Amino acid sequence: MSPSFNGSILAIDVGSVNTRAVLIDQVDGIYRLIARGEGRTTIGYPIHDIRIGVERVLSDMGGASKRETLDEAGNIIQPETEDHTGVDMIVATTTAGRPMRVVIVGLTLETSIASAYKALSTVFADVVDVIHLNDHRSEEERLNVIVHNSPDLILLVGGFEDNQRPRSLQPLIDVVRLSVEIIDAEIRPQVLYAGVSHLHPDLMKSFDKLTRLHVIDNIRPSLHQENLIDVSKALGRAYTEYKSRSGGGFEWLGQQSASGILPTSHNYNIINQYFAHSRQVNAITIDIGSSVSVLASSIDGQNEMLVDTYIGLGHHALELLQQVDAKKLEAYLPFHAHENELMNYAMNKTLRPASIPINSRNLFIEHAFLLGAAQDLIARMIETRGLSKQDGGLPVQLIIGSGSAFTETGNPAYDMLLLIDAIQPIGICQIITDPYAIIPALGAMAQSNPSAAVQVLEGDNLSRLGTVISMSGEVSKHSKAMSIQITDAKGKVTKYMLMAGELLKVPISADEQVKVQISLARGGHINGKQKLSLKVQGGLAGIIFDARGRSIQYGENVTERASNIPLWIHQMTGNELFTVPERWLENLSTPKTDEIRSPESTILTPEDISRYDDDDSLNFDEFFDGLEQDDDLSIDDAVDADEDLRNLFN
Amino acid sequence: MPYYPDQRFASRLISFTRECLLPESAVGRVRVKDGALVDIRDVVAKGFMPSRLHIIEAAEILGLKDKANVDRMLLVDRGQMVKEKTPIAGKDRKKGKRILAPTQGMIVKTDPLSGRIIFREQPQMINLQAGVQGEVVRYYPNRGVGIQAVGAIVQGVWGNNDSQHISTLKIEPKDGIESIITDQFDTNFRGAIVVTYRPLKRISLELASQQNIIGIIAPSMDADLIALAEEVPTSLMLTEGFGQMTMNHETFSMLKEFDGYQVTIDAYQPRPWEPRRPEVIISRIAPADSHPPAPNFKIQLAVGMTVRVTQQPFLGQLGTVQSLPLKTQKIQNGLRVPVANVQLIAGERVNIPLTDLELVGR
Repeated sequence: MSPSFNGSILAIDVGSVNTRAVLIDQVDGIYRLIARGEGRTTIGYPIHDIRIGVERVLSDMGGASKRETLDEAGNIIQPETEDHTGVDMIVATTTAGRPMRVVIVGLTLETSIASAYKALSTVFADVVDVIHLNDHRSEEERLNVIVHNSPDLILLVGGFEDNQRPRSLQPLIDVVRLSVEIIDAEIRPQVLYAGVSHLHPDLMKSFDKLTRLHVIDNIRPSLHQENLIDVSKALGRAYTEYKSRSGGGFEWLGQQSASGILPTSHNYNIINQYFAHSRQVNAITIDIGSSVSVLASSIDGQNEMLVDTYIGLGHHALELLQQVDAKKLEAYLPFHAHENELMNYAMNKTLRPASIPINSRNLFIEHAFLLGAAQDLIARMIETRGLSKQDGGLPVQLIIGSGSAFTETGNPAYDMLLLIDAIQPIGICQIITDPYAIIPALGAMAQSNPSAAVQVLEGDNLSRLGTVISMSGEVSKHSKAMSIQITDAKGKVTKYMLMAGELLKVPISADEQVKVQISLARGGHINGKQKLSLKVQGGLAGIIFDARGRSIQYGENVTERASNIPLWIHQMTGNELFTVPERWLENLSTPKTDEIRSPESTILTPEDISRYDDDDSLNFDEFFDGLEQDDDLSIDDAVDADEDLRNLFN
Repeated sequence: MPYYPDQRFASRLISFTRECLLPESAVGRVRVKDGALVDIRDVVAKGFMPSRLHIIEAAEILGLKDKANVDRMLLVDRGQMVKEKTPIAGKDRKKGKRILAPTQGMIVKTDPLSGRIIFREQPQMINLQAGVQGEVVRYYPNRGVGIQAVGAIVQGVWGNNDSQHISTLKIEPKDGIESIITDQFDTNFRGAIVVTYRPLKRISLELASQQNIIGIIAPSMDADLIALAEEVPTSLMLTEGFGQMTMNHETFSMLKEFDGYQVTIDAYQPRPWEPRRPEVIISRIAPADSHPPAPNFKIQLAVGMTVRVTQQPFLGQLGTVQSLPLKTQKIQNGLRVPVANVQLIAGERVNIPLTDLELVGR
């Protein structure tokens, strides 16, 4: 597509549970989301054809928007006609079905193979084995490894360009060729060669007519150089080819889209980088899906992408449990889990991945799995990046939540609570979600039409949930932690007092900006300050004040957790406070009376405030009189977003 | 927006298509053609699981100057199954330098460039039986077929080991499955497929396999029994899930009606990208004047439909859809989601998330 493309775009994302489509077109010269649709993905029993699910979504979308996209044969009409039937461009992404199975073959783990792993993290792939010079395997063992793993792709890497004859690579190429020859022709893997370039002619000859061979520039031309972009693109092509021949209707979808079928995960990285770059903030995008979990981070200018095709809340719930460990998950539960309870729950989720809990107990388990998965990804990101947490949390100013787990509780404040607990940001952080799952589509679109992607991103198509202001440090339990004064646009002042270990939600709408003045008790701080004044944008949930400290302490024992977790949900959602039944706490010590907290933070009366005046750090009048100048920390500065995205890709 | 619920059948007489497939990792060939009529025990596909490969430096062992000559030295055909120590290459089968088969297996390839022979150990062969009487209506190259059949079908949620058995269905005695595997072992159950409405216990599973019960249809078991279940030769199908759930009344009543019938149990272990479910099938001939309905997989959820709930606390309960609210509704745990208002058989009316409903077939 040329940069001047200004036609309509249909983006289809086929997830392992849900299929979503969005129609994007220009209105008054600006790209906007015109229509959207969502339905179940039709892979597996009984239909096993994603086309049916896509057709259903497009039919419903057409009915609602009065804009048809399907012809009588069920194909997508391209290009758009004068009467606005059809679309000019289709972008298709997917995480449905089995990931592409990959065997990496290379020289050394530290160089070319490390680069191969990085490149593979951008696609929906599952590295089933790695063969390298020092793997202490015989040639016969290597042959068996490849044949028995039945890979869809063999990624061959190795050698620096200044080494004209790296003989060590040849035996590895030979065993790959032998394996490919032995594998039944119908299921032979593709081979992607991204090794030293002088072997290209030999390679072409070796694999001629044997299988589909992709030959590209060296992934690691020298010790200090990496060529990930070309490899990522080639992996995208290999992925499209794999999906096209894996049945289930993917071939049809690939034919509809000029760019083939793209893996979803890479697109999160693109959009996360865009937000981080354009707003000059540290940003994290997270999606814990049914079978794949993705974390894209841009922190202090460094971008990291983690795609785990083994953990999820549905198809891969059991793997999640095994990866995270039941004991860690129990730390998020307000009850004592029965023997086998978590494993039974995980297995039932793998059997019915779309199901959602009905009762509270199962909802607590579901959210424990969600938070466990998120914290596991973050721990791995921190380890990979060599980061350390600051004040027990992450220094991010923007969190983007995607996927139904973070966007479909039906209450924006509940979504926000889950994202705060999943990431545990410090300081001031804006939280948005992607309820229509447009990020995969926009990431794919951005590569060829950044203007359209930016215009949709900067429109109202993502949900601004609000801003969370989180206290770090330590304030004694059950004592006053934050005194807050909010002045709205009309000058109306409201004061609040927040206790340590609790949350406060102040409903401020997304189009409203208010002045927030905060004073913290001794031991607590926000970005190192004990007093601050700032302008804050609201959101669908509003502004959240979080006095739980970092890292969030759910409770040292089940009794504390049974007190804390339902309270936090209640404070955020306004739902009736759930009382954990006594029998859920069996075999555990009963709480002492003085450990039971007040049920919620409340708006204070002048009488209440006068009672707090004994505490120096929480004297409202002194504090607010002492402030002379606003410390404006609004993160909604206008940016030339389009330009930023272009620069990013260039 | 219309909602298309999952379907999991429990039908006494229905026209259905059974997907009969080799395991994904198997190398195989389909043995029947599209449109063929097949019987229960007909083999529709044959295959083998990939087995160990041996690289034999044949040119070096035989002292060949020209490695390309290795092909001429073969004493058996490629693909021909030979016993261990059978001469497979050399000038003469009985004397001189010879290469013996390292194990029972076959030559799969010779490489004229390296002078090697690639030898495959005898693989585990799979003869995939149809399991139903019917007509082949779908063809999956190298994997298997879809067979259109008429009969009763109960689809489960989990199977233990992908095995398939055909035998007589027996309902467990009043005192449970354990009572048939005590000292006075009841030979009536030997070789049978036994139905229990109680959650399966470790002891039942261990004893059942020891006592040659070849299939068990149970509602549930704890997930820590999975490893054991995968090891035993008994085919196991769960109808409800993992935990301590009893079998829903409708399914148990139906299976009880088929006590003594010949049934096929397919203990397929579900994988998300495969178009299959574990199931129990009773092939039946439809009455001459009736045409058993075929399931409509593209049916939208509608008021009046019978549904099964797939989540606690109503798991397994049947009910009738009373209304489909246009807007999301708050459910028991505080979530606000798209729901159906369902009247359960016990009379209770509850809002159930759409994603927690299944159609049970007609």
